[in-house]
Amino acid sequence: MIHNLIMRRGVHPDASKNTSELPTIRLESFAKVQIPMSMHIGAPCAPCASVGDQVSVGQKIGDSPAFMSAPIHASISGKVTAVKKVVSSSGSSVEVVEIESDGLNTIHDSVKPPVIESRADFIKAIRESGLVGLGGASFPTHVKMSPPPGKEPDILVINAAECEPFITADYRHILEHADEIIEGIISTMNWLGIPKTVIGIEDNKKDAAGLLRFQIGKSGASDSIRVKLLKTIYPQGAEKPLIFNTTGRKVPTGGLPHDVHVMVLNVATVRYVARYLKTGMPLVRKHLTIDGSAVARPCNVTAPIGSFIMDIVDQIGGVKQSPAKVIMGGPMMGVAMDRDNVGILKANNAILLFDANDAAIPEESPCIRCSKCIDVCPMNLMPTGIDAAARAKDLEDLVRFNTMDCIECGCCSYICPAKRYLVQGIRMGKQLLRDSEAKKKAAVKGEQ
Amino acid sequence: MPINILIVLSSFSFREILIPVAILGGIALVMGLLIALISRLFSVKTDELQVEVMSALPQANCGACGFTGCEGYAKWLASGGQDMGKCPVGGPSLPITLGKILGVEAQASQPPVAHVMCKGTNENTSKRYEYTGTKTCASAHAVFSGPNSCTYGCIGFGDCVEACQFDAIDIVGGIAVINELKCKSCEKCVPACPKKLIFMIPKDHKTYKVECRNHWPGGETRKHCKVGCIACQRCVKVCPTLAIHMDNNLAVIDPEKCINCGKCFEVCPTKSISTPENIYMHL
Repeated sequence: MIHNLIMRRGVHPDASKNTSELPTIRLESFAKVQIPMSMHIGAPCAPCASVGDQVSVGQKIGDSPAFMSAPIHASISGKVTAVKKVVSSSGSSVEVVEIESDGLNTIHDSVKPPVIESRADFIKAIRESGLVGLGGASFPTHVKMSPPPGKEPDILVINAAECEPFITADYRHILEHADEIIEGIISTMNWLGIPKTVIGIEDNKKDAAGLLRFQIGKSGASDSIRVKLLKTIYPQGAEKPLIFNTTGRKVPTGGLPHDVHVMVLNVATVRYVARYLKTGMPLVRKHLTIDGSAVARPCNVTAPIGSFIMDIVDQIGGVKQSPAKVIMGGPMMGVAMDRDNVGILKANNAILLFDANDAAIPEESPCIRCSKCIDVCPMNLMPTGIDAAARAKDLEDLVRFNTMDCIECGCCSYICPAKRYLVQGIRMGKQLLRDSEAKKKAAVKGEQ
Repeated sequence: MPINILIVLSSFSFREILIPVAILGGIALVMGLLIALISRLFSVKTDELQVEVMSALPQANCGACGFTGCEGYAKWLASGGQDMGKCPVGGPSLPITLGKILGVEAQASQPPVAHVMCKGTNENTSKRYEYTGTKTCASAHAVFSGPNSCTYGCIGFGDCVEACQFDAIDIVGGIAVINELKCKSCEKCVPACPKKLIFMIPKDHKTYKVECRNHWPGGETRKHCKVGCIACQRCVKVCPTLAIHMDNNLAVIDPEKCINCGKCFEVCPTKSISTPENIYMHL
């Protein structure tokens, strides 16, 4: 009972779902795209197209022999003009492939529905589709679908919570492609042998939940698929709280959902599963919400992966004023960009452009010990303590306060009346712990 | 003496006063003897030599010697440790002093000084974006490699200033500058720099150095910094002692081979090479 209360902690930011009533606009013509070779967690891909090559939509342009990786495909047809390195959001450099469009969008010969006869075929097909977790974490989907022996999921949780302000991409996805979503769920359940599915959706999207229920009834799977309405609170869609709120299971510290026999897929991910099985078109386009105070006409679009942010914004009506901040993702967890000529990624579900007024960040002031951050933390942590330990580089305290459990949802920074940069501090703490862990490993290796 | 006190005193007999005094005095005597006995029995033998060595060390407890503070180093030396040059903070004559105490011949050490290999001041570089987070280099480095146009250069939030116990580092014009007169060679600043820009260079044998760490091709460097090494290799060609080699688009001068002729300094088109003098002296 107490856990139930704890896992429902969070904040109520202004939802600002301005685009929920606007149908998705399909954007086609882009002069140029820039596709990074690492849009997933795991080993980055090596480009398998070189400068001057003619590529077409759906053609593989990057792959890696590593298991923990997902191939990258060309999202437009045209000529490869550059393969170069750029600074990524984490500060390290990442390889990108630039393609100049020929305006034809010809589809590559390799794009045809996969032949699937077994579970292994299914997982292989998912890998070939380049699918990653589209909720934002971009964990390769085929890795999620091949859990270690003994940890096979007995329940599939579909994340349709979409708790971040502004973002309506998943909501529109449900309204426009509910049939494909249910198809995707059914084939995933069939091929992976999962008996049950729960779709978790926030109770501010009752119409979408109703539509999903209707489609479930139509497909005749009402016994195995259930839609569960969840309280509207941020971060309802975060993996660990979501698993708890839909199944009542608690993922252990440092564990993954498969430790409690659960598999979590985003609602957009299962829709792309269904689409790939039907058409064989890999993940080359992405649904996203374009919003923010600097955008003239906020809306939902689908655009080729790698198309530049400003190109997309220009095509839907441009900006009201020059944006002071460009955020990839939602306002709570998204990453502010250092430039506006970056290509969109597989896991992007929003691009937010804010004017100078909205982008201003208040000055930090000393902690007043109000403990509001502790009250709202969905992971039941002590953000202010972790932040202080990280700033003092106190490794012992960082371990003691379970720093690695933080999901970086941003509730603490949002609620803090002293405007402490808590999440940044916690991220530094995590980095310190990872560094010390690496050092310890190196020392052990050195001794051997 | 006031009369009333005399009256009070006289109301006690002499014996009544004597008994408590004897009891308390007895307890004190027994306790005192116990303390003396216990301190004899459990006394820790202090090494006279270690105490003497300890008093010669600078007592900064910075850990530059690799031991847990000065006490640890003194213990090691007193118990037969041979290397007297492990403490750079004590100055060049410390090994001689230690040698005298320990009865060993020792030579004066030549501790190096720390140097920041970046000239990317605010005038020479620009900002790619406005950074609004926590003002430490490590935090800024984790966000797109810091706000500077050059992602290899000094961020200038002063993580090294924080790490320095001897107040030898200042942020001047947006980059860290080390005062060689104050630097005690403890090397605490070296790991504090997320850009790995701080190097230990010889204090007495100073040479010309390329004050840049970027590995971009020249054209890219030009866009981001006015004084970055553009890998033109003119210095490599002009060096009479072949002391300069290229390391992934960056010229590196080998201080062992450098004869301080200054030819590289003259030909360098971007002036990323600097003279042996400490620029701190000019500020």
